[in-house]
Amino acid sequence: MANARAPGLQALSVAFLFAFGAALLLGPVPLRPWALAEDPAAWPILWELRLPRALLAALVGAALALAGALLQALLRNPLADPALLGVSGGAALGAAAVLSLGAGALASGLAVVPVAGAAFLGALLAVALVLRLGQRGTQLDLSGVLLAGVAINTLCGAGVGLLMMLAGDGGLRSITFWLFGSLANAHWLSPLPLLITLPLTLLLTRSWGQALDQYQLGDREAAHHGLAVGRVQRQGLLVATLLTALAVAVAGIIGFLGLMVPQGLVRWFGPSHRHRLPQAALAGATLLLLADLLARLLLAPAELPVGMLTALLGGPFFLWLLRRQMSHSRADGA
Amino acid sequence: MTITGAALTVQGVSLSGPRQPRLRDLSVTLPRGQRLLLAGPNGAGKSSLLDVLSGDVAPSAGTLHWGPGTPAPWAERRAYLPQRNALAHPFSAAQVVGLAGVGTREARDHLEELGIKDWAEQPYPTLSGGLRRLVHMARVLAQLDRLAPEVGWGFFDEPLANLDWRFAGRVLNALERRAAVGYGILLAAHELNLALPWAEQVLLLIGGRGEAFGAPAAVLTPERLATHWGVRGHFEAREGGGRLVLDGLDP
Repeated sequence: MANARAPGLQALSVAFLFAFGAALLLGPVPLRPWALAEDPAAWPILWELRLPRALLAALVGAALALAGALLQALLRNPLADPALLGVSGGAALGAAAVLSLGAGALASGLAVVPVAGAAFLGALLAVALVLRLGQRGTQLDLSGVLLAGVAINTLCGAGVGLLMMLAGDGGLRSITFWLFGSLANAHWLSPLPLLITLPLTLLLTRSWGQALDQYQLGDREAAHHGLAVGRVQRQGLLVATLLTALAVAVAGIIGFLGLMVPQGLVRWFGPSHRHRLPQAALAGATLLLLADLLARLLLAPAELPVGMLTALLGGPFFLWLLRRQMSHSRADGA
Repeated sequence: MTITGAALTVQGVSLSGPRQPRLRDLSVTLPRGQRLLLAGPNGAGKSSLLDVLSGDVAPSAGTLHWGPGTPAPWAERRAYLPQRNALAHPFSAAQVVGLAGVGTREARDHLEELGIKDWAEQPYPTLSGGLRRLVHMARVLAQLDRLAPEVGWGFFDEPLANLDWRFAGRVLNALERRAAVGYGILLAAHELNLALPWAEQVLLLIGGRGEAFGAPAAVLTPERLATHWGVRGHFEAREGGGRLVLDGLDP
């Protein structure tokens, strides 16, 4: 480890800057930085399309990966992901409900605020329901939580579909937007909620590493070391839910990012949570910037929804993790 | 070395259970600085008592007196190794010990004391059952060592289970060292052949009641061995220990 104080943060920052630059310059119309001054058509592309979109991709990626890292730590399970736990579904349903009530298209500027609020409410409800359903006695039953999450997600997805169909024009297109996630509707106001929340979250959670490590011992033994287990759970779930909801409100459901990023980090930087959350934010931002770049380039001038891309990558990854976890618990005789 | 600090007094402690009480009106004064063994057949209430002493469970009746100068937070007055550990995260053995709030060097020292330093970097989930238990033992000892000997108590629920004799001996020696400097040490164990020679005093629990508290030879009488364990045998006290002699199962 070159820098024991914050392993990997420098390397991840470099990767992030590289990805951000690539997102600005590459696309159906490639921009050359040295030609920007001479090319009058380049500025609007950069300023009105690429920059808000890259900013949004970075913020959404960071939020989802951070939420995923938190959920995996809090549920003590590498399979936790905001989209699998029903958090994203609840957020999407909340957002879609406000939109169908007439807050207008997502592109209409300040609508982002009520939409984000409704997404947060929807996500909170979904989390509460999933945790309630997944509870066995006083303990959380993890397979129960995951199954309840899948059920809630499916229900919410159907709800979103129904609302969009009833809302009429562009129904199917909006359904695709919500359920597969996309950054195509980015405008200058859409990064706003996360631009405010994410730095505050990173500040709030900067000293959570030791607590999340101790928390892995289990509720009882963590408390033996003096950890306020209930408070860690409540605060962590609240932060993860908020970040997920704000991401979904502006970009729809982008699945598996919150699953893949923290698990990759465990492999590279070890199991300690000490620097996990800032690492996850940087790596998530980088990964979504790159995924969105691919989504724009692969079928250019047409676009893939970026959530479809992350699902294509993340689905097999999830299955691989699941197989591994099953073979481990079999070896334990558990 | 003189032992300072107060004894832990258990006064009329009861704990209700789903079908019958787990502890019934238990009163005993546990001195610190001694090797105390908590003995009793399965289901006698050993773990329940340790849960109460550790603050995990509030007794349904009775009180604990910790003595003056005891810090308010439980984490600063006791370290506790419960019977089961829930950890599944792929920490290395040294990292698990580090969860007690000690640095890498200290964590390795604790692993070395129990003879498992060679496994320090190995992921915890890949260790055998006995080694995992020893890693948690090292973690709990690390927590205990951070407490002041005049106030600190260590409660250990069956740390000897699944250990071979060498490791069991290491665990008993580690506990002896803590008792010698004044920590309160209470060890629950079924391995009476190993634990009785180690113990200075034995608290015998039967059916949630305190049956006897005293020197091993006085508590583990042939009658009690026959009645509660179904074996014929006796404990021979000797200078520096003694031995448990078993002649067979009680017909």
